[in-house]
Amino acid sequence: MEEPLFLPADGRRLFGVLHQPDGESRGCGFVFCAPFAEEHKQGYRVFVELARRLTAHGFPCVRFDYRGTGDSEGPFTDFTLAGAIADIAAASAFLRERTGVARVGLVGLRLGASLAWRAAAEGQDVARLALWQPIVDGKLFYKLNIRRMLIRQMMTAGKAEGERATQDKTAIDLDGFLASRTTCEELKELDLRTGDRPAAATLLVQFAHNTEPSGEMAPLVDALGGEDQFLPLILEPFWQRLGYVDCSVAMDATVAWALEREGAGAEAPA
Amino acid sequence: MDQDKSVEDALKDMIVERLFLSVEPGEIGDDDNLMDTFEIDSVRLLEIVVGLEEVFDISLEDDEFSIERFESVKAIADLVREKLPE
Repeated sequence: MEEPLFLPADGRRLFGVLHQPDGESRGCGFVFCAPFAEEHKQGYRVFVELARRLTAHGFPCVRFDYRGTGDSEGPFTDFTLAGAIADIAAASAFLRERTGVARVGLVGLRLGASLAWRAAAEGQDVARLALWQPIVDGKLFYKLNIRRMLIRQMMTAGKAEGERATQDKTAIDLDGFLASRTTCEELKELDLRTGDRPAAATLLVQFAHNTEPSGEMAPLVDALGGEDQFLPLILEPFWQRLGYVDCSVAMDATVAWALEREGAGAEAPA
Repeated sequence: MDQDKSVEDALKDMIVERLFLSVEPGEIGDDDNLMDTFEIDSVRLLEIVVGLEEVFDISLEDDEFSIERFESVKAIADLVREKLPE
C-alpha cells in the first residue's frame, strides 16, 4: 500500500509517500534520503522503484521531500544541509510511529547518501545505511553544480555567462535551483573524510566505468568495517543522464543486502 | 594519463569509458562533431569536463566554456594543451 501524506518536521509539513507491505512487516524499515536539485529529478523514479522492491520484501519505507524541496513547505532557499538532517530524523520518527518498526535504515543517493552518513554519525538511531555514490568532497560537488549550469548556458547560448546570484545576492542559481548562501557554504564544508564514521552496518555502492574505488570513494572504502560491504558496479551514473539507465542490479543488490542483514531469505514474511 | 599516448587518444579513451559509448576509441575522428555524431548532451558534456579535470589534472575557468572548445576531440585537445604545463 502506498499512501501520499505530509509528515511533521520542526513545525513544517514535509510531503512524503509511505510504502507499507501488504503482508506482515519485518522489524526494519527504510527512510529514503533524496539527492539534491537536478540529481533529485534524474534519480526520482529509481527511488520509487527501489522503495517498492524493498516493500515487496516486507520492509516499510518512506520517501519524502526535504524542507523547501519538492512538494514540502517552503521555498527552495529554505533547504539547508542541517535542516535536511533534521528532516531525516523526523521521517525516521514518523516511520517508527506509523509502522511500529524497531529498526530504521537510511537509503541515500548522492547528497542524500552524504546526509544519511552525517545523520548516523551525529547520533541518530540508524541501524542500516545503504549509500549510493555519496558525495565525499562537498567542494567538488559545489563545483560540479556550477559546471552543470555553465555547460547548460553554453549549450543554449554558445558561451557560458558565469555564476548567477539573485538580485538581493542571498542565493545562487544552481542550474534552476536557488541555493541559499548558507547551503552553498554548507556544501563547500561537507567532507565525509573527516569526523566520526557511523556505527550502522553499511552498504556502499559505487557507479563507475570500472570496479576500482574512485579517488573520491577510496577514503570511505578504507573506513568500512567488517560488517560493511563495498559494492562497485559498472553502471552509468543514472542521476547524470537524460536517458533511461537500467538500475536493476543496484536495486536487487540493495534488497539482498537488506534481507541478509535481517538474516532473512528472499521471500516476504507471511 | 598515459605519457605514451597523444592527448587526442587519451581523450577518446576517457570519452568512451565515461560515457559508456558502444564504439571503440579509434572510431572517433579527431574532427567529428561530438554533439551530432555521438549525441552528447549537456549532462554527458559535464561528464567529459569532470573527466578532463581528473585525467589531465587541469582546471577550467568559467570563461573557457564556449561551444567551439568542446565540439570535437581536436578542439578539446587544444584546450587541454593550453592548460597543461610546458
